[in-house]
Amino acid sequence: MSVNPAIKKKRPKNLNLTKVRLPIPALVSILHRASGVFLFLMIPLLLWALQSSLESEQGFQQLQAIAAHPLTKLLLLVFAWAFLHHFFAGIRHLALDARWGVELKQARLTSKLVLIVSVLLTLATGAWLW
Amino acid sequence: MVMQIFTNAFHGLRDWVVQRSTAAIMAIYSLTMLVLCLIYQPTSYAVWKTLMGNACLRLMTLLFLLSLFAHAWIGVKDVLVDYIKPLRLRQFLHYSTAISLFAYAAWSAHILWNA
Repeated sequence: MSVNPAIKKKRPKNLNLTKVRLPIPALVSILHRASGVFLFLMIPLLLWALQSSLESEQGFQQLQAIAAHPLTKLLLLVFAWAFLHHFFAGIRHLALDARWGVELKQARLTSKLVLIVSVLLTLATGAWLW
Repeated sequence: MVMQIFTNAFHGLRDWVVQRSTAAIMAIYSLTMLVLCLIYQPTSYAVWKTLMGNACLRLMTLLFLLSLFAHAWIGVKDVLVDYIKPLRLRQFLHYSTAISLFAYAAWSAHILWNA
């Protein structure tokens, strides 16, 4: 009895994450998660900012002064990217739920669009902040 | 019974629906807020206070924040289940997240109606 050579062939088991090339839709997916966790961690800061801005004129001006600091601007830029990526990746997700763009070619294209549009709008936010 | 709430079992469809409806609410609110800020340019306390003084916007803001907390709960729960293997640590993070989000909800109501 002959053994099918395809079965005998040694295949690489690429379970090592550093050796796996991440497909673009997978990259969008993991960044969706990462940005979501980051946004979750930002909730207390967001609520604190909302409270300060509404509490008093002094609090509002203090917040404006903090927002003018370069390090705050950097954090705001990261926040903007996380929000935008999560926003557009989420809309892509809703489209996929409705069976729009589930073909591999379209899935890759929309993944690229999500990455590019969120980075471009983050850059625009940066230009507006500085 | 209590453990059921903190595991992902049996809540697939409900979580799916909640995640998407809260996402839609937050997306609409974000775009509305963006447009309002472009129109009213709230760069002074007086303008900002007047804008947020609107009862309708206040209610929408509360709805947005509550959606955010429900959305975050499901998202964080999924992330914890996927990546945090030690059971005790995962349970601790689950409870911490739940308590934080409830506290955030109370804090939000306080900000919107007392601050």
